[in-house]
Amino acid sequence: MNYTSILCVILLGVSTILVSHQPSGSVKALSKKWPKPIYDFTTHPVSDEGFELGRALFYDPILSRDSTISCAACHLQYTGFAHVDHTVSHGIDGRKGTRNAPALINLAWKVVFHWDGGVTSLPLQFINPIEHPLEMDNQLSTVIRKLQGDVYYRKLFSAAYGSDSITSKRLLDALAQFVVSLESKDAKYDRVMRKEKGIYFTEQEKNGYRLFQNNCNACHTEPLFTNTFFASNGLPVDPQYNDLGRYAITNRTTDSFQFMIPTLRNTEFTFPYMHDGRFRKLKDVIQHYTQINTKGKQLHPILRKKITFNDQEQKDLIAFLKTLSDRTFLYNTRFAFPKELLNARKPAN
Amino acid sequence: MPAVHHQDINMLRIIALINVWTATVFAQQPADLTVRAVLNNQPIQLNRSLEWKDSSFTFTTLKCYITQRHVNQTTNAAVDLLDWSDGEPKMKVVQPIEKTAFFFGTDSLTNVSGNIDGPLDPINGMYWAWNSGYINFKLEGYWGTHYDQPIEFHIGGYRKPYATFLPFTETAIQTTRLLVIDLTQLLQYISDQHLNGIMVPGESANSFTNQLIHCFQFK
Repeated sequence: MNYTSILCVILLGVSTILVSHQPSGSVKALSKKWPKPIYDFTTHPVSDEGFELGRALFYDPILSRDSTISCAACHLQYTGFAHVDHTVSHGIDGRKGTRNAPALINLAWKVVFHWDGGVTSLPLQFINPIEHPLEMDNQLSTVIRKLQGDVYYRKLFSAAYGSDSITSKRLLDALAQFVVSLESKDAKYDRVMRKEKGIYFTEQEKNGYRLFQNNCNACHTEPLFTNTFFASNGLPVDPQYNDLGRYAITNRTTDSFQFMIPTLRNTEFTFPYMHDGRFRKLKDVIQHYTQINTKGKQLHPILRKKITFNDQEQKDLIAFLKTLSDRTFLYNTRFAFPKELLNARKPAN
Repeated sequence: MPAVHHQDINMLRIIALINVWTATVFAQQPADLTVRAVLNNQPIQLNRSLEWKDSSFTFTTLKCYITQRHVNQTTNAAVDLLDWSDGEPKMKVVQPIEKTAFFFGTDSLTNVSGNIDGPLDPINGMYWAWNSGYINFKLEGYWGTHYDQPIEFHIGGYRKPYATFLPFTETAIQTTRLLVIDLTQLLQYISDQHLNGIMVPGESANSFTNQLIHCFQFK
């Protein structure tokens, strides 16, 4: 084998690895500043078959105890995979949780998950909704047993993993393959940053962008629109929940009332806002930041500097935030309910 | 002295090689270690009432992770989940046993690696989903004859300062075939402290683990 052949083999291998990380349908061009993903695609590769299995599982209420609640029940595509119009999410038997269901967007760039960062692995995250008594109230072992008795899933597992053996590892991996693929990078903001022909910010959006960069970007950092850290943003504690945030995970008093800084991508659609969904409108959120008690004990240091926006500036800021809406993502049929689910699932004899 | 033929020499070489191979392979083969949990010298069986002072105690769940490493190594050679739900568990020991270090629980790398095969499968009920990490020790049961005085301890945590991964103070020797976990002192501690449960990592879990670690004895 000569050097040219060896080089070809190496290039073929590299390109195969790269292709396996990007299932068909991913956004092609990215803005220059886009960072490398945190998610390890080498140990957790995404295949088209794994993605399709994960998609079926995500939309199928088979995961819940009484087969009534799916992941999609609280994570709707058209609202950025958040739970629109629900302060806190509703699970099985109408039971209410204590936090707002976060948007599932660009999770490959997250180090930890949940509002308190208690979850350190994306695949293992799925145990939470499956087993939580206020969500799906099921047991992993029961889910696996149900799936093993389902011809449709045995086929999908076989296609994804080479055999129809259904294990918790495969189940969680498949769900992760789908969810980690929910990449939103094609908003007007991205197109402007990529300098696409004929795509520009309006004057109002430009002013909103300037205000954003001066007042919001330190925490909601471009291009992910989150720095993935935690902060106490001055929200008064809701006595109904008395949620201590990250303190519950670390036991450090300095982490009291700190919550994950969420992405603002598709924020136009992911209302209501904050960890307990207390604000219904973006205007309410902006006004909160202008009214913070800057001497609050647990407040993030960056918020100790008073923020002021006049009425016009608030409108401009909202106009900019709407440029983060990514309709390519929100209406991508690849991420939608798989129609095969409606008629393909037949119980085993 | 009889002459030694080439064929004989070759045969001797083969036998010697087989001996070396056998010694090497079998020295590395894991041996079974019986793990016996006891309370006041009574072997623990789940759902069976055991004498405790003037009353009794019944274990309903007893599970524990044990990690093995070669001495002076920082990588794990084995992680075992001991579960009393099907009777007295056995554990494969990494050989040679006298050069194996035993730890209670699972280390931080195991908790974050995402490897969930075998004993680490969350299906075993030893994974905390809300606060990623393994429950290193699970003890559930009740005092007396009624189920109205239950206790529930889910002990875990891998982040400093609340890590509950600790080396055994006891060491095994070549002839060790039995690991005894005598929970008498631990139950006394639970009783003295009026504890009825610990479900999160933290100082209470650390204090509990410091008691528990002295319960392990090689025989």
